[in-house]
Amino acid sequence: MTLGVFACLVGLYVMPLVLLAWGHGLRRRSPRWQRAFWGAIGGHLVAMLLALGAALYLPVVWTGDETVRGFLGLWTLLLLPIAGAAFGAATARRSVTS
Amino acid sequence: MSHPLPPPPRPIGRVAARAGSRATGAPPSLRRTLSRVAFHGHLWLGVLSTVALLVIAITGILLNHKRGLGLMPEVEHSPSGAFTESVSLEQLARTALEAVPAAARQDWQPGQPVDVGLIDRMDARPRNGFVKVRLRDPASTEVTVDLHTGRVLHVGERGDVFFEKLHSGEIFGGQPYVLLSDIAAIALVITLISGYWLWLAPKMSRRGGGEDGA
Repeated sequence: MTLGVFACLVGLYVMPLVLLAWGHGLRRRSPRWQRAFWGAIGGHLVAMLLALGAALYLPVVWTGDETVRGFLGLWTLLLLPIAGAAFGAATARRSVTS
Repeated sequence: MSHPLPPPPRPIGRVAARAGSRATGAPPSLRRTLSRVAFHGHLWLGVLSTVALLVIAITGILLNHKRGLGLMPEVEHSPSGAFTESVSLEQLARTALEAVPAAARQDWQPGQPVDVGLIDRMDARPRNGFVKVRLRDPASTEVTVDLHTGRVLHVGERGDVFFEKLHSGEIFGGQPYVLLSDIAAIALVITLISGYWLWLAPKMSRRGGGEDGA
């Protein structure tokens, strides 16, 4: 199993579990926590579309030199929720301080 | 004569479980326990398998229409000679390898012995008088060759092979990964059954006039 496939499987099966567990008791959490959660959900939804598009656009097996397709298809489901959560947390801090 | 009012609709899932625990301290009924399990199973399995099921559903639709979408080359042909006079398999394979783009045949050069490692399968169709030679390149290039004359009838990519691997989960690295697709399918079945139960259980409660229909 390559690192990319491992990342894809984590994004496919573990990340939804993490998001679902994270969503429990959300109303009792701080605003920054809530923004981070919604950022992660947004990131995951965008990643879902990107990964689906990358997987289905060309009906050809991935090769090693397809870096863009490899990133979109394998890594986005893991990385975009994390990036979304970071973005959400950062914007929450900005809104609190302003 | 006045009729007694029917009981109000009963809550399901987590709401029902909370309501039950707040009641009189009595143990939850089987129906309420089932509703709680169904609610959580429906929620968790639904979220967990969303992406996998989307892929399986979309690739399934594409595979159902693979001919119409041009994912599978369709060659109209009739036999040009007797089956006993067919060209040898080795010659058909050589013809196919010579006909494909250089990228599909890797290091093999015309004139060299046929490298069977490049060939995935040879699908002979005696009634149509051709053989389909499928290669093991990323695009699953397929060459249709006349069984009797050895003439190349068509060269194209088999997009449905990739979609089949994606549909089954084999794309992740072979046969063991088919289990991923199986897990998603089982999750779908459980989600369907639990969803049906969550729809049915409140109606059963109302019809029975009580929690257990007593």
